[in-house]
Amino acid sequence: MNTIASLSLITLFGGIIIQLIFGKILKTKVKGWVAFTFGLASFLSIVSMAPAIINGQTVKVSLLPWQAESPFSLYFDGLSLLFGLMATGIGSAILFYCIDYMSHEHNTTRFYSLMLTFIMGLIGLVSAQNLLMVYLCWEIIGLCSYFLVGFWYTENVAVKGARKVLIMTHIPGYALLIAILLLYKGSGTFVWTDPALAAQFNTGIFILVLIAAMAKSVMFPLNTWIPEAMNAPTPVSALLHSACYVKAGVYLVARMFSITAWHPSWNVILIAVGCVTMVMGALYALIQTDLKRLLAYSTISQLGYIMTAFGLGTPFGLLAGAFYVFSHGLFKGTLFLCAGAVQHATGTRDMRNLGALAKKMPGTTIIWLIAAASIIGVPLTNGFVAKWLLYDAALKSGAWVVIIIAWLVSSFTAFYIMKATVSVFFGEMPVELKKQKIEDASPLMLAGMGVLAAASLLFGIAPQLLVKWIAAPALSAMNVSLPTDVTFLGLQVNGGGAPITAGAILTVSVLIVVALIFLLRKPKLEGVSSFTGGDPLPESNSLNTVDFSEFAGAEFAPVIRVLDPDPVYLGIWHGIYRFSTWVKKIADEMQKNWAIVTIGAIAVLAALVSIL
Amino acid sequence: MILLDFTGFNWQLAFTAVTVLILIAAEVYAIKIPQGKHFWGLALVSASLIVSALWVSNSVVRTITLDLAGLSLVALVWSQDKQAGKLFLAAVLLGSVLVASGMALGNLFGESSEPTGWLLKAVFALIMIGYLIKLAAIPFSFWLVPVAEKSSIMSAVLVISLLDMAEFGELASLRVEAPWLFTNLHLSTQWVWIGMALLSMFVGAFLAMAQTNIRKMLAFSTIDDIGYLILGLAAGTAGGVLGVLIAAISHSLCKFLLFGSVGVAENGLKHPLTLTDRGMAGKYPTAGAAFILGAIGMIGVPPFLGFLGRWRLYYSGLEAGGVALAIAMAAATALALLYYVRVIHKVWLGKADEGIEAKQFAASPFWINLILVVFIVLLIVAGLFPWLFTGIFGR
Repeated sequence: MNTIASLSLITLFGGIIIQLIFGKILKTKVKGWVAFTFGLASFLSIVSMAPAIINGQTVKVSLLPWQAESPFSLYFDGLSLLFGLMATGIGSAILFYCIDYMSHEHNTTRFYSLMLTFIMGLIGLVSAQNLLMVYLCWEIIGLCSYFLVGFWYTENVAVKGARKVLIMTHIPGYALLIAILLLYKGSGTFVWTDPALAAQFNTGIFILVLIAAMAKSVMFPLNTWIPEAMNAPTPVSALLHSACYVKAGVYLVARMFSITAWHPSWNVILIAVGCVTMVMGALYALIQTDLKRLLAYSTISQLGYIMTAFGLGTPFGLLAGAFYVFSHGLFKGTLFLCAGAVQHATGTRDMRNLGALAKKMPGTTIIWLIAAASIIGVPLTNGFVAKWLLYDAALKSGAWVVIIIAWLVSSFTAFYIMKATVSVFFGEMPVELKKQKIEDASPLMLAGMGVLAAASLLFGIAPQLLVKWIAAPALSAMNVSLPTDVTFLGLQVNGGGAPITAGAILTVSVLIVVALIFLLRKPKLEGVSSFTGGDPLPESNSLNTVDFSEFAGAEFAPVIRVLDPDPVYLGIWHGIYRFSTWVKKIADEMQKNWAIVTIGAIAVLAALVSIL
Repeated sequence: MILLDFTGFNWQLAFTAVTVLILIAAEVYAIKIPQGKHFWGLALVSASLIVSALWVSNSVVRTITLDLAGLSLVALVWSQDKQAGKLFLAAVLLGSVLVASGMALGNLFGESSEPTGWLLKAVFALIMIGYLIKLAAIPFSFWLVPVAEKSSIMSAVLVISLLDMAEFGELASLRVEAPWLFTNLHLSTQWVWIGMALLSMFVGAFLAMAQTNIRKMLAFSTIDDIGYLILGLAAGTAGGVLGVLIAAISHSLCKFLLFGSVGVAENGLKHPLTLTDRGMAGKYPTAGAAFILGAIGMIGVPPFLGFLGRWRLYYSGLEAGGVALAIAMAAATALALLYYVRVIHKVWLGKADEGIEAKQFAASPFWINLILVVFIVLLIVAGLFPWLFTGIFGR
């Protein structure tokens, strides 16, 4: 088992070395296949550890000596399994998609090396037994994100995004380092499984760790880097900025449950952060006209849900969080890949210039619809089960504010996803687009996206698979046992879940009835008079992306303004820069009179020492 | 107790290896991009004197040898720019005289024993001020910026990478052999050192941020970094001193990368590199990568070697001054990130200006690219697999 655990990292390292050594001679597609193969091998090595972990065992490996105070020791438990499977499983599907998607790009050696390094870094992060190694991997994935966002480094827009990613995620990372060093100072160990370290955990440490987690997991107000990161190649957005990188902070939060018992105030802090983030992300998503930026804000909102679930802190809350984090990786990864396929085919991701792609890209459309249904929370998808578990957890905790906010944000989610779906795949095709030859994504790309969408459906129809094999071990790693059994469609089979199950059956029945009525009436799409609520419709007699975004932007303008922290950051930067230019002026004057300044400084220092 | 026993790290061997590596790299660099007519000989003499100083056990001879190395570098800089040479000479002479006087007064050339009263204050003041001048800490940085700006790029590297590293080795030895200079029951020496370290860290960082000339920016970033190293020594734990030694090595290697890549760009542009030059990585990708990774290594981001030193410096800061000092160090590092990122994104990354795009650039010499890549690999390998070197250098 130890060898297998080591293989999860060693295979990826091997893949990176092959990319670097043979990058010059291998063809782009071959490099893609190599990356995929090594990613898959790593995935299989993690899968092969799963039976032992599901049975309650942990896999420990001392990989390298590294430093005297902190060897590279791996510790795979249920949480490592959850995040490791996400990194390698979703990662492999995305690498498969890349084979065709990146086939026309240059510098793919750099691209694939960084993608594999990122996956390796994430596995290292979630399996590290000592906290210094956690920080090492934390920063490695941060650097990968920076370099991948700036992949097209001669394009201003890409490097601008990369700069923001680096600054906004690296600086809060020092909070994590200080927290780790404080724990080390108090306990004399970096090993988080050591009870001596747990004894040192307090609210100050929690807040320091949370700051770092918030930055990586795009929690308000440290969220504004992710929309700028959307200028990265789409597989990067799918792997890093939806499925895995942004989950690193979630991992840290979840891991704190493994280390220590939570103080109730920590739950309140996390719920507050999660709820504000949830609302903020959804509101911003409503006003976007760029497909990837919409998905980026949607990621912010969805991560708000996940953090809120963990913030509830109950076994139900943790179950919802564990289920949601994996599910989000699947459906959001799919949505990003579909967005990439659309951009690949049309050359744009501006929803104002898109439309009616369902006819030209049927495969992509079907996959998008599955993922869109999932993020909205339509039954038969994993998104439905995730939301259901969250609502259930909130109901059981009596957290009514969470329920109301989550319900409101779910409505917003449905709005903005419907907006994107209709704008891109339905309606009328813009004239410019009609002139282009548009083809559906290649079979390899469809397979990459399709696997993730199929998994969304699988875990929606049979969520017990995900609960039993992935969420339950994760809960066990967080020192909590599975609070309920879940069966097909997310139905809970124990007594407490019966009323909710009845509600779900009612909901599904209503949906079936509505669908039947719709099908029987066969309404005509043209010539339908619309009730507009008093305001006249635009000339086109329909609301398009721009109308919708402008409407949402105008209605929510005050809230949107308040929830934008960028002006504050800019103010800080300008303040620092002004101060530095003022210091420079003084220093320049001092340089002109260096001899006098030197003698004066010596005199001042000598005087200071004499009076000590 | 000597530094090797205190830290378990064979710093003399490690510093020698780095000195030889940088000397070879600088000489190869000078073959491809000329660094002045006296460079070859004076670089060799300086590096040889530095290596000798590392191994001489007699403290008088050691101090004199290191001062001679400084003077040979003064000669090198003087041959390229008289004004910079004069300032450098003033610093070397003043710093050496003050340090030597303090050491003589405190009997540090012989059997060291802690002086008391006014003698303690005099010895402490002389040695501290002497080293602050030698290391160009604020407010004695008057000489470093002209040296970095006016001398050839590899001459600046020899001064900033090799001489500074050796001086830090000396100061670290003193930290172990005469600990009363840093932590003293009768005199708050530790807080004076910490205060001077913070001054260098913050003022250096702010000054680096305000520069438009990249060489000047790198000079102030050196001053910023020197603040960290002084702080590690002030804390004085074995971990802190080990952190200083590792950070000094990392500083030398990263500074080679930073200056080396700037030299490549300047050789192509035929003028000093400034913030108005855009998109240089498009013209010189290897140099661009070297600058970016050198900058990241400088601020101690893992997986670079600098992290192994930097976390220990943070830890020693935490031990000496609690969370407040650790947060101050993190804030200074954040400033360093900001000024490096500013240069990376204004000068190296992004679209080149039309003027640069249209201009025909000299190709980056293969051997220089190779050296830069070797340094990058070395920094990463040493950061990730330090145990590979423990057989040679100890801990």
